[in-house]
Amino acid sequence: MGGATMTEAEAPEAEATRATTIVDCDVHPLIGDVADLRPFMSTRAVRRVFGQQVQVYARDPNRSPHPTSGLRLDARTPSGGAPGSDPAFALEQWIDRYEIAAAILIPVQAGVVIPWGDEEVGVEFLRAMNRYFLERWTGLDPRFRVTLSVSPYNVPAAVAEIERHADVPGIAGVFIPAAGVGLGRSHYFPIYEAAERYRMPIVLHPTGAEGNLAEAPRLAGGLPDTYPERHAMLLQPGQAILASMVFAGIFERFPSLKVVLSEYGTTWAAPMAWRMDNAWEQGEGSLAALPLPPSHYVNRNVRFTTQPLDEPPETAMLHEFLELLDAGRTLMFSSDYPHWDTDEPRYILNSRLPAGLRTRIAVETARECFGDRLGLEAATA
Amino acid sequence: MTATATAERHSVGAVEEFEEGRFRVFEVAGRPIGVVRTGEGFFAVRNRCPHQGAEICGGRVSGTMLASAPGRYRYSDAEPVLACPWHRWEFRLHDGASVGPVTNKRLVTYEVEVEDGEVYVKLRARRKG
Repeated sequence: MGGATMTEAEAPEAEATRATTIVDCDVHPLIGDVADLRPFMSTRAVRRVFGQQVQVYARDPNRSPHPTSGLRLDARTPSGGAPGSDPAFALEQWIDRYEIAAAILIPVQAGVVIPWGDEEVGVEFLRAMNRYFLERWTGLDPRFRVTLSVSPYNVPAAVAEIERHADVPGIAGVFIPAAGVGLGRSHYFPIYEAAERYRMPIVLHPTGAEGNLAEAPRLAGGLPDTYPERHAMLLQPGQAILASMVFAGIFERFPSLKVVLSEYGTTWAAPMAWRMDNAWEQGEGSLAALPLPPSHYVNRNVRFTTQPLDEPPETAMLHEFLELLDAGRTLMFSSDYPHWDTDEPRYILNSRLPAGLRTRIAVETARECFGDRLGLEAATA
Repeated sequence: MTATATAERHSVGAVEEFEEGRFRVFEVAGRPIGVVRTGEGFFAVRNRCPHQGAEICGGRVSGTMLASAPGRYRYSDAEPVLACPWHRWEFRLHDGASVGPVTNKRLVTYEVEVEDGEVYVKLRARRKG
């Protein structure tokens, strides 16, 4: 027998993905101690946040935390830090190990920056986060691509932040931590205009504040009682975002804008699009003002990510849903590293998804969506 | 760590080298195998979660809430379970069966023998030749 180092079952799986470039569209970096933002903030802001304790950052936003931790238990950093707080360890444990060519960083901490105590400082706090991730993460390795966190409340500040980073290498897109205001509202138009102009996809993702903070998206039916209840309902904000943006004509106003709905689920999207089409066909006025059916815009402008992949009892059932979603065009791989429900790339790409869509989902759709903002060309040049 | 082989029985160290509830992972005949000491004795499992392949021995060993009735939580530490550090799927250390069960797949388990203060993992003859 001898001392083979890889088990028989693993070998073919590993082989199949090795040929495929993988873009991971959802990786979460964490600022383990927000005091580390001090060097990136003005003296005034440091004094306001850390001296006078002005509440712009909700330290513990979650009224229904995961019962055994929302993070991977094996992803604590070598120095004992929280998972996601050490970029060098993330490289070792995730990027290098799974041969990820580019990782879209989504800093969900931005979702609990609530600026009302001092709005200017709230904006500066987000700006400091962006500078922190660019320097500490992308500066360490260009495979880390940052989504810029911008305030959903202060639109001029958000636009200024986008413009400031238009040509900064390492920026993948714009992360708007969803607020309790529909994303189709005209309030947001300047953000979409800037994002479209600089070819930055808008990335949307749950932050944990849903149903917890007054300013965050509410969940239908009232406050959830437990973590599983809240987690199962996270598709609700995704559906609300989609309906709001489509019916407001965002994709007619900004035809080349890309919106990534990350971690909101996927199997609901096709039936939702049919439902919207049905409403559109019968509508008058504002609905009929859309020249094309909603499903057209979903397919052209909206992209979804795989994690957490719905796992029906039979893989064939999942494949049917993916076909309805036109997944070869609309779906991109994501892991959610280092959160508790991280999806393993080989398992997802080789064992759960249709083989014919593997490279589309692993890399090609992401390349179309983010373009050269993934830095793939530079990496292979 | 590399195990010392004697026929199909592989020594993985002395009893006192094992801290209760904490896995030590060895490569035994090319297989990554974790060995843990618990109040119920020693257990050995393949360091690979049958769900998505995570290194499961980095997870938690403890009792668990048994399925009972809605709103009732019945804790049992009668037999230890191992929870995967990723999705927290739990497997019984005795036989590798999923708690719940949430899956029909089993964690691969191995027999452990303790003799004269030494811990041995026994590999089953899985293949001929």
